[in-house]
Amino acid sequence: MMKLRAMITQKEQMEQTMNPQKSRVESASGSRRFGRAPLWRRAAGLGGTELVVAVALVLLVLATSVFRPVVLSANNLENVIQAALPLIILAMGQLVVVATAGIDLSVGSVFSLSGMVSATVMHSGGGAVGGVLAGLATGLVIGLINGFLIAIVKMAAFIVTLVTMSVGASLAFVITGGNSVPVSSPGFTEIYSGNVLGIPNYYFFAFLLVIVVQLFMAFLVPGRWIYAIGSNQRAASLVGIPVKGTLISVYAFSGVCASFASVLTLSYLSNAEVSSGTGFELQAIAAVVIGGASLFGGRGTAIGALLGALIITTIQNVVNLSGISSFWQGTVTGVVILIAVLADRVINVSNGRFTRLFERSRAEPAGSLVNNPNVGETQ
Amino acid sequence: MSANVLVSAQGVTKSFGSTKALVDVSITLLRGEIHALLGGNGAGKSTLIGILSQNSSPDGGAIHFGTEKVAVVHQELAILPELTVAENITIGTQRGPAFTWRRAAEETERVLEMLGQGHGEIRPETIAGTLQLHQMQLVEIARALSSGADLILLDEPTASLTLDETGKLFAVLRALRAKGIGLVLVSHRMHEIRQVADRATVLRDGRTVVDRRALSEIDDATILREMFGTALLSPEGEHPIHATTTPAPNSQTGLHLHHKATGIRVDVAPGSIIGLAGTPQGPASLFDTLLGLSRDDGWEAIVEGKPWRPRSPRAAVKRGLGYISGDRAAKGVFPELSIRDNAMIARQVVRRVSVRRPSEIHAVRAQAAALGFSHVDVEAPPRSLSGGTMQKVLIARWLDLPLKVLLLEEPTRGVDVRTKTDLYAMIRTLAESGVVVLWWSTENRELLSISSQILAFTVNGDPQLLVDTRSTNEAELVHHTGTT
Repeated sequence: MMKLRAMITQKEQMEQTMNPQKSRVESASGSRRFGRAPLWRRAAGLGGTELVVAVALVLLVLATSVFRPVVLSANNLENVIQAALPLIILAMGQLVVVATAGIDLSVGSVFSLSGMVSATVMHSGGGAVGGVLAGLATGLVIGLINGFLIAIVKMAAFIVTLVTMSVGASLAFVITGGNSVPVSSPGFTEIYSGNVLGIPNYYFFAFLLVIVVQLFMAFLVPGRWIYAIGSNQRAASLVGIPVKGTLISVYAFSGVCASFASVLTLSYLSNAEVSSGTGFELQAIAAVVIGGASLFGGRGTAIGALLGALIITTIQNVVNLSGISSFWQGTVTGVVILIAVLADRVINVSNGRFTRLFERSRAEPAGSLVNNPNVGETQ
Repeated sequence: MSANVLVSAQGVTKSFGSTKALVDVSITLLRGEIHALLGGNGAGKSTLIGILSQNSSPDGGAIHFGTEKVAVVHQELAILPELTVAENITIGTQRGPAFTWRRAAEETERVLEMLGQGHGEIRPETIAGTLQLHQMQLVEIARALSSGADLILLDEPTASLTLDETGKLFAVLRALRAKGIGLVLVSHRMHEIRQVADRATVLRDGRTVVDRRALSEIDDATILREMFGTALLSPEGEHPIHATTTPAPNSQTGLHLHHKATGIRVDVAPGSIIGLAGTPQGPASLFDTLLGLSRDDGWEAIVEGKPWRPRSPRAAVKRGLGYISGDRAAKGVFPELSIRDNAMIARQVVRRVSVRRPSEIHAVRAQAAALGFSHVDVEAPPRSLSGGTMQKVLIARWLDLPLKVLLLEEPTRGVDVRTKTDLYAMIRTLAESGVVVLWWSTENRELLSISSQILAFTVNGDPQLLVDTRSTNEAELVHHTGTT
């Protein structure tokens, strides 16, 4: 620090004290996202978006309770959370991928395939342990393939994961000839029915995962690398961040999350179905986006993704309870995603004025910032 | 209002939230005039350009436009690299559903002719992405002309051009002026402005302090005084900052380069600043080798006695290399991360830090205070920072690290004179702590004032000569780099 002070001549030091308004334009006229939040929240990376989603979730439930009080019953709330658990786990994997400006379309197929592999291994005498390992290995292998093709062969994430999605789904049929496979190892159901410190396993693992991912991305340097890569991959490489390694890791993690959720679900249902994971990938992406992540990368938190998953599941629950045909679910969810993304813009945009709603979102791909005359250039 | 007046503005104000970017701006732009727009960091030039180009509207004041047709050529070019030149020029003004190639080609030829590029290297069918930077700029100007612009605003157009290319650009601007088109030039390079501009308007803190003064009636010292309010700077080149003499290099310290094709050897002692001058090709390939981006560009490097052949930028950074580019948006800034993250990111890599500590916040605040931007919320994203301040943050990224070699690529691009002085001081301090600094810039004057020696590159990218800055001047340098 002494070196830095030595740099400023006396004249300029005096000048700075005489002219504090020099830095006027550099005061944080930027995003309100972090501005006045308490330090602990800013440090954890939680901003306006997560708060708004949480409030929206609560309002949704309260509004429904007005004409369907049963929604607030302990039984119903428990059902909702339980139904949300696999999505929550999948959303964690998708979050870290999306934060790097990537996407993982294969998680639904990994979910289906892992279940089939796990059940098949147990059926052939692998035992519960073999079943678990086989299931997780499926996710890991597919994740590594995704990561390799994306980071090293430098193919587009959309295409790569679309391919593995297609291959994975078809392999699930191939393994079993299209039939569902029952779980035959007795110990396996223990996974679901057991508990840690009185909390059922599935809940425990899911929420532990959320906390771990949140802390990792907020406080650990490799977590910041994920955001850095999503924000400006080229600059990340030039500053010494291990871009390839990080990308491979996030896709591997996403694959393992999908297979982990699959194994847990399997121990609950005791029956592996061929297309159990279909559509899960889009729900995971929706959850992550509602929670504040941007598909352009660099943003999004685990807590946000958790809330997004809960909102999606709650919508399903509310639609059911309201007696509306479940065919409407997709429409309601779609509208919610739209509102969530637009609301996110209003919260996080510097000016905060309503007119800004119709200007381009701040989260533009790193390359397009070069055409924006207001970013980091002369004034 | 006479037909000659393109823009007449009085008392214009504009705020962004609580920040007052323009407080009282007046400007008058006429046809057939090259008008320089000057001002320091944060003076309001970008905001004014936004208003003049009708991309944003003022909050208050009166502004009358004599024409609707205003075009902007930004510093970062808005070229469509995969399309042809003809498409780039005409795509905005195509009428009818079918894209007529013949009409587009004819229009392209017409406009290029107006720019004096009639039968030159730029053809309508050339793919825009293959052009050189200054040619892309001409295509953008051509596009503006084709759309019938009466007023063209140019933001730092010479930032990445060599002397030769700048001359060509200025010839084009004069041709446009002769045709009655109004031009606004935003620049920080005083000597260039004097070459081509007729009048100047100076902004300071959102106000017009010099309004439409003819450049023949005002001198550089006055302009600088108006830009900054105090006479604290000597204009570039008047009192060149003499580089300190450095100890003779020995083989165990410093950087030693060997260019295989030409046999040229360069030995740099720690603490020296070496300038790289000439066309970008040469310095770029040297940087690529040092950064580990290419395995063999014809250079061999030895750092502190050991061969330097990193396999990737990460390996280079971990071994003690730092890299700062003036192309901040593409190669330096992480727009979604906070300023603190931006400043700490290299340190975290080099020192293998795993956990982000709150102490980082204090470190960044201390840096901010020392470097002159202490009013910034370090947890905010860098969007709110001006170019010069962002560059300071990017340099701060590499401070207090065990650096051996620092590579600078146009580090003062788009930075105003006062911040440039701060940046020079920062780099000099870094050098004094024992770092070898390689400074690549197309601004020869800057190299002459900051470096002790300059490595000149020829047009085909080979190093040619290492000259001592005390015994050379700008004209000689131009001669060596073959840019005339």
